[in-house]
Amino acid sequence: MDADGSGERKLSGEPLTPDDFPAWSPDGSMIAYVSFVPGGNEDVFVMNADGSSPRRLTRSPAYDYAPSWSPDGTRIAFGRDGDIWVMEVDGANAVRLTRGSDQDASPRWSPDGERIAFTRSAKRGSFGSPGRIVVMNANGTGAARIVTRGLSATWPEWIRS
Amino acid sequence: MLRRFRGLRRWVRVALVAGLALVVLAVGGYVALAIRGADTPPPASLGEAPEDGLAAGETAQFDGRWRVRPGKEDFVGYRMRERLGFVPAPNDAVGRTNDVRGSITIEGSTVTAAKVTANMQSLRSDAEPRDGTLRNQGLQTDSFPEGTFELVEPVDFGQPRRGKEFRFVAVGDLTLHGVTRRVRFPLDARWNGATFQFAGSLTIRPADYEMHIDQAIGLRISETGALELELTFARGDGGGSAGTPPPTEADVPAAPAREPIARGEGALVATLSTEADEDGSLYRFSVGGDARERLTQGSFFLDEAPSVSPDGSKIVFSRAVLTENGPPPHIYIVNTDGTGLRKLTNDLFTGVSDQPGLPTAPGSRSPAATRRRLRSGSWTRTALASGS
Repeated sequence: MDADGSGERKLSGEPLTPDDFPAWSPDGSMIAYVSFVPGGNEDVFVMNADGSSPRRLTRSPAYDYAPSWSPDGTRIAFGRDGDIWVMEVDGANAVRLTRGSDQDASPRWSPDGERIAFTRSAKRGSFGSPGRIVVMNANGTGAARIVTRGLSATWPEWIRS
Repeated sequence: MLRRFRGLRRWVRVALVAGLALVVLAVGGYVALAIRGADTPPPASLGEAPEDGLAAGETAQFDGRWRVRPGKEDFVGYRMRERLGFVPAPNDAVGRTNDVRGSITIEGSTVTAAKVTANMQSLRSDAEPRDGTLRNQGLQTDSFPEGTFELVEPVDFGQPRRGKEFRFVAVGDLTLHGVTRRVRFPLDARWNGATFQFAGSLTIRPADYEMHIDQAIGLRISETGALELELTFARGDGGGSAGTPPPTEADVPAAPAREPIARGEGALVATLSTEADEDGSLYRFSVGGDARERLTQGSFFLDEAPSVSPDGSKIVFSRAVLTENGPPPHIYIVNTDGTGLRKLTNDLFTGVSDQPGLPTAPGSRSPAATRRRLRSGSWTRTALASGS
């Protein structure tokens, strides 16, 4: 829909397949999103901004969520079964950036493309536990937490200055 | 006399009748205000100390979290003087609600955190039309259902003596009508052993909070009024025992912090919440600092999944109302400085969720209830996506 809430129209999906987590590509020409694949699970798709030419990027038995485009439009970060992954925009060369017992999710690429912020909660599969915001280099190194003075923090997003 | 009246010119007769009608209206309205306001509640005060029990000789231990104790006697409310033309009404217009929640956290004898939230939609006065007006004018409680006060500077209570009143000034952010202002709230207080009582009145200007009321013919409100409160806080466990206090905000673990603190430039927006409250608001903070700025007010809301516009000026996000049988989440937009909050989507179909990442669960009648289950541990797609 338009920024004022008007002009709503459906772009993706079959009638009974939920589509979530839309993310604009940096040039606005494409949208990455997550769709439930009948008989399977959630995978990352991309389509043109007008809803045409949907393409499935991931075919993992894992649950893939919340894609985020790199600023140069060449890569997509996403959550997979509690870890942060990154792949090329055609789905190739998927690489896991985080690993461990934490629940990592909702990655967001920084405007300069150098870092990725994401939510980390204490225990994988333990939903409802407090989360914290972690920032790491885009290659997965240098993870550091944001100070939120004890408050649970989720859903990071960068503000361009 | 009637003959003399009929002898006057027509326009003079019309003017006399109109003038008489205005006088009747004014006097009648004034009398009505006087009668209606005859039972105006007294200003906020501590009243009598309750017998709530600290055994003689028992030492005072204030540490921990104290929560608002629900009670019909306690309230948050307003007091405004109405005017009929230029004549002040003989009594105040007083509206109050006892639908209040909140807590204070005390470390030693210092209040390190405090937040009180009032459900403004439940404000009631002695005039239903006035209450109805506030739903879409003035406080606009349909759009801004809550008012909050959050302490921003610690307050040292010193060594309060049981049953003895003391006075302090609470410096904090008062949010009314979606507008937040830093205020100095003078409060009377008393420690009763198992409870703390607070009472006070803060002068406010509705215009400072961008509140405007279309003035009824002849009836106006004063330019200033008062925010009043009488609240009682009991220990978080509901009693006055010296048991382990419930977790404070500072106790809510940000999970084991194995990572170092982040350095560098950059600004983020994210949902911050306390585990106890379930709700969450959007905050803006810097990567390398600990300063933060609250962008949305969310004590009865859960604001999630923010997405910043390409030009960096606006944030869209989903808002769920955390009430039983509350409406489904909807998409809102707010400027990155916290101004200009606006709702973008509406209930077109019952049970349809507009929240990116929070589809209404099949069979669910209440997305808000779904949210509560989600927070309590149910596996959902959104839980996976958010990490919370």
